[in-house]
Amino acid sequence: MPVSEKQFQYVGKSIPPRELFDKVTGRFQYVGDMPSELYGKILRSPHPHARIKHIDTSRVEKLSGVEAVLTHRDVPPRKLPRRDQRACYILEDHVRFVGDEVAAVAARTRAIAEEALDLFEVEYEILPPVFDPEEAAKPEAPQLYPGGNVYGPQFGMMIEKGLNEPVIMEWGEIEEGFKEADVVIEDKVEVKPQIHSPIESHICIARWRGDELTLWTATQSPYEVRMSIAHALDMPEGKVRIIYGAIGGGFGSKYIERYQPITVLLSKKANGKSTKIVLTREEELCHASRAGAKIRVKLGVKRDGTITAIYLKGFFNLGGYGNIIGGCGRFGEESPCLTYKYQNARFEGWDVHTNHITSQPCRGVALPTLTFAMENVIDQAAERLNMDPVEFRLRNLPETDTMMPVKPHKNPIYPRAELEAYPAQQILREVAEKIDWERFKGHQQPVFVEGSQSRGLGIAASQGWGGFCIGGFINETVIINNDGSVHILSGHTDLGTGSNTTLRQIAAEALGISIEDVTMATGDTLIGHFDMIGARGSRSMTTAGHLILVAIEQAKNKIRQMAAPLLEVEPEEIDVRGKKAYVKGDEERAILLRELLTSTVKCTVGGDPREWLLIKGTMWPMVAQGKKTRNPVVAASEVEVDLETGVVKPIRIITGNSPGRMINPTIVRGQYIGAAAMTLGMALWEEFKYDEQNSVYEHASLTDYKVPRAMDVPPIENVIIEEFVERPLDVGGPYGARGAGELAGLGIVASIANAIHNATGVRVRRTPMTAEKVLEAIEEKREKKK
Amino acid sequence: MKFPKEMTRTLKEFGYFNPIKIDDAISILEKLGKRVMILAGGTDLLNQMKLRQIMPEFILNIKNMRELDYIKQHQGLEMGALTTITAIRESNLIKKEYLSLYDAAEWFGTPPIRNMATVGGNICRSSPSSDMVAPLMALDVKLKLVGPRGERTVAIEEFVSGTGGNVLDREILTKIVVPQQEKSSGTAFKKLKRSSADLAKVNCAVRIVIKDGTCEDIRIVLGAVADRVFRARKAEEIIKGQKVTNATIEETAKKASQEAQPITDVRSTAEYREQMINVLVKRLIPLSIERAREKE
Amino acid sequence: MIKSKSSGKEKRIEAEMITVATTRKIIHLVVNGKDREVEVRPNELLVDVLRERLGLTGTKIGCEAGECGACTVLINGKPNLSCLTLAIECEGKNILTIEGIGDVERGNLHPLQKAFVEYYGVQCGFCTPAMILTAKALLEKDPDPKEIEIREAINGVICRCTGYMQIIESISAAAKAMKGNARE
Repeated sequence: MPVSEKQFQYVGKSIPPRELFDKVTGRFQYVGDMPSELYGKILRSPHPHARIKHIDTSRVEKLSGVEAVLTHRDVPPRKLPRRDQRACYILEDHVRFVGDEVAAVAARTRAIAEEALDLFEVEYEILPPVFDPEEAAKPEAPQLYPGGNVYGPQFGMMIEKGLNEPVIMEWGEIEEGFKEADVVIEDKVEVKPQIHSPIESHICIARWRGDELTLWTATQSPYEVRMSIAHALDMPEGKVRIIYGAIGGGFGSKYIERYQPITVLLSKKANGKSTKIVLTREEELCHASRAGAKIRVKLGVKRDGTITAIYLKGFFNLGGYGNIIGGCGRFGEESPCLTYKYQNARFEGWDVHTNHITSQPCRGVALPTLTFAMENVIDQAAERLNMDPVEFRLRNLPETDTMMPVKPHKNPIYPRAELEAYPAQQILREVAEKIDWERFKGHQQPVFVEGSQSRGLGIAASQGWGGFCIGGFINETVIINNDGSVHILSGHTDLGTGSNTTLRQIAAEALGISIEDVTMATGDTLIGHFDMIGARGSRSMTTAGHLILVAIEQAKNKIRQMAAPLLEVEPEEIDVRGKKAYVKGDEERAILLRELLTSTVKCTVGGDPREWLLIKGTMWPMVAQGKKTRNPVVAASEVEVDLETGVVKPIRIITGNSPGRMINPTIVRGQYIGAAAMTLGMALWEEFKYDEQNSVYEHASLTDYKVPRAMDVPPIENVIIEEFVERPLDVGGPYGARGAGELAGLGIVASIANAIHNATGVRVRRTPMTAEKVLEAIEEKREKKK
Repeated sequence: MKFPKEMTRTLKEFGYFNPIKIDDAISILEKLGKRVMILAGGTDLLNQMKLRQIMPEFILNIKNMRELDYIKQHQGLEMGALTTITAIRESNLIKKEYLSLYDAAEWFGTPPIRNMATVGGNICRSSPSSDMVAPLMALDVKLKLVGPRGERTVAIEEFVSGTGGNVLDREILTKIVVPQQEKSSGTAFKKLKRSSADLAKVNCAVRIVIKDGTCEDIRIVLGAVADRVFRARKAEEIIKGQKVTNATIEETAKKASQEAQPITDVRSTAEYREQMINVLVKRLIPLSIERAREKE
Repeated sequence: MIKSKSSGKEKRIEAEMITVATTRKIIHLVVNGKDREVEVRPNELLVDVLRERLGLTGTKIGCEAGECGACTVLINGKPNLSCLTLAIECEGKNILTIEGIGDVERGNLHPLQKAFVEYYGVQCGFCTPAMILTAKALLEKDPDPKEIEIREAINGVICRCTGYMQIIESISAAAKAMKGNARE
């Protein structure tokens, strides 16, 4: 579908975000650039599972320069409600993984705080640990929580007990489906945890003035931080002020963690003195991750290529404190499981606590993992049927207006609706063309071989959420000033994703004014604009954007009412653009807002519960009744494998996405490339290494945790197909836009695995796909052949 | 506290010396011995100090002794200990005549690390996986050490003593002397790593003197697969004096991998390392021969 | 070797030497073209002196171990990791931080800064000062670098946000702009 013919002033224009000027001159202030009086340090558990029998802080308190000490005895008896990890006490006597917080100290200098850490005397009762989620799911395993280690299909911020049930999503009857199949493939994959590792570590500064708290912190969900701390400390939320917005990267790692309320309590104990805690890079690499997982998939296909059934059973490692959101995430909120028209399906997810590193959603959450698991068998199915991988996928990809899933969900909480503006097949074709797929010679035949260097191509498809209003709403207030310029109060968080600018573009476009006439207040919860879940799920721009447009429309309606009698027409005949109200079709009959308004026109949006629950405030929001917004995703990779050393070198990556309509193309492209580079790291280089015997994290430095560098990442190109439905401005995603932040990374791991297979004839089923693993697989195959 | 095994911390306090003359530096080393550590590039030392693996009472900064920073042609090649890795990488002389040194400098760390790190510092760190020691050992370099008892020259093979140790005794390494290379010699170095900027999983340096298809002399040096960088002498004996054929190369490579004692650690496994020694030797011998031919 | 007892004089000289070694020193740095005098202890890192004593917080700390490159500054024109540099080592050296690039007071951005804004080589911005300084040093050595040479030069600075494409495009664009200016 062609791009709309409307001429836009700002939509579709790559306006550089304003804060970039401060970032390139070094003037942009991050939390770490602000001074504080005191410096805090956290004592962490050396044991994977233990109870604190006794903790002696006397030597700590005697150290000159120490101004506050905190143990589990000093924290309030109320938990921190959290969205994507379990609710927990600020400190507890039950420690659940190596690195779990045990105690804390604040001192006048960092050196003193470090010295103080060595002076804590802790007596632990060692409890038996369990590290594997399948083991931990058994009733006889060491228990981390009442109700067992399996979290279960429950969703809430104060979950107290596990449910010992898997999350299940299914449609049709898989047994029938497998009977119908001509070929059945079964396989399993294992994914190691991936650490988000933004370049800025977790950081916060807390300060009290009387009973009012101010917390400067790098967070993606400031209102969640506010709510959580207020609840735990039993304070009114209004007395907790979170100042945010300057973040050096998040990727899902920066929401509410214990270190923030720990800093708050240290500051309180030190008579409110400003206290800073910043995690060292070692702590940063060992406290939370994308969930490790083991997934088995069984796929049934007919000879004509129809996929008749899929059964996926996955164990997701929640570690000490994760929850369903960071686990299977209710199957990626459904989306990756709707990549193909599976005739019958059963997805079973076990989210299990272990004494491993805590799971926390990481860019794409479980979607790259699920895509890898499914694409592993999809690719094998194409091979068994002797079909070209692109052809096979084309046969099974849904399109715009396909009702998905193909049969009704058995569980009514998952919606069934038509896919809207979903050019999956076109994207797949264009990505294939861009990577010169015609070079593909066959499943076990590399594209070319020179000496021991072998080249292969791999392709994968996936699906992501649309972002639109996922998880709830954000308060937006649009204020039309007397002079017709606009001020927006917004609860969203700009992570460096450029959303502030994109939203201003949207507002400027809707009102027909210059973007310089649009200002925005965000970054401080003092403005009181609640954002339910913060920057995640690729939702910020679409959710905030949609609501801003709704507010603008409401503001316009108010203005229409005011102008109608003066212009002597009905309100519906008036339009409001360019700082004036005028009669539609006769712009001369106008009145300047400057002359019309006797006070500001203010409209706040974000709260009608009935409407929201039905359409927008759910986990799977629909833009209109019966229509789902989902993101079609394709990834293709070309790799060169050295058959003697097993080293995999990515040569080229092509991503394929549909952002709906792009508001700011350069920003969208930047998000796509960044997401792809991140999951490329997960695929090839980033290896989480934990020595269970000795309780040592071996990867705990950037020397050993290999985040991709410029010489590692190959050129990444994007196929972008803009497809959207034209609707009234205040309906659906803003100007037809869809979320972008995570979407291009979903298929990378799978496409790399498929490309390695093409180059070598072997499948690597574990991430990261290191040289050792590839070589091992090559040799295993050679042995089998003998 | 085991979590995590180490955490970066503020530096402990220390005394600081910054002499300009070598004699003053020697005098400090003589008086303070093990209480003082030499600071050259600092890329290794400061990291270890932050992790409290090393906590020296005193630091002796030798970077003001500018006479130690040079590369010159002198029969073979002579480098001052303060020559940075970047200087090695950018030296036309080295790229022409001592290609294995260029190979090692090319992928050494990252650009800013190369600007700071010195060849002397890397040698004196004596890491079992040192990038510089391997090609230098294959080149039979001699090291000049200056101390309170005067000067002495030590072959690099005798300098390293295992697990990060060396024979320095209150001495400073001042220069590295690379003997003149035979006209028909070629060198190569390769390091296998996890990603573009990394310590070695396996290091290998080869130098071969080839005449009419016969190997007149050879050095095969392996790093990261034993407690020190070492010469695989038994492997060398197999091919030395022989006509170079695929069969001899294979036999040589196989022997070399048997001489090593690789371990499994965070970077790689013992099995993989053993296999890769074989692969690297098989590739570097022909590459060195090719480079020898190109020189003519 | 017979160890003779050190004479009283030798002991005094040694004690003096040690006292001098452990006291704070006043060092002179040239930072962004200005002479700066700071009193430092030997164990103070250059990055901390820049950020906390001189108020130049544009240089960032990401890992403290010389891996992430966020602390990169130019010392005598070359990229160095200020988290692995003692302040006291820098006596007399020329240090350039991000605050020394362009003439921000007068609203003049360096072509690199302009390009990073226009070509969106910046997302969260934490690695940006290091990237720009590294690029500046590169373009001074090689005014017309190919993509692979740019990747090599910035390999010491990790960016988690961008995937590097738009950073490379920014640097290439700046190179073109700077060549154009040079011709005039």
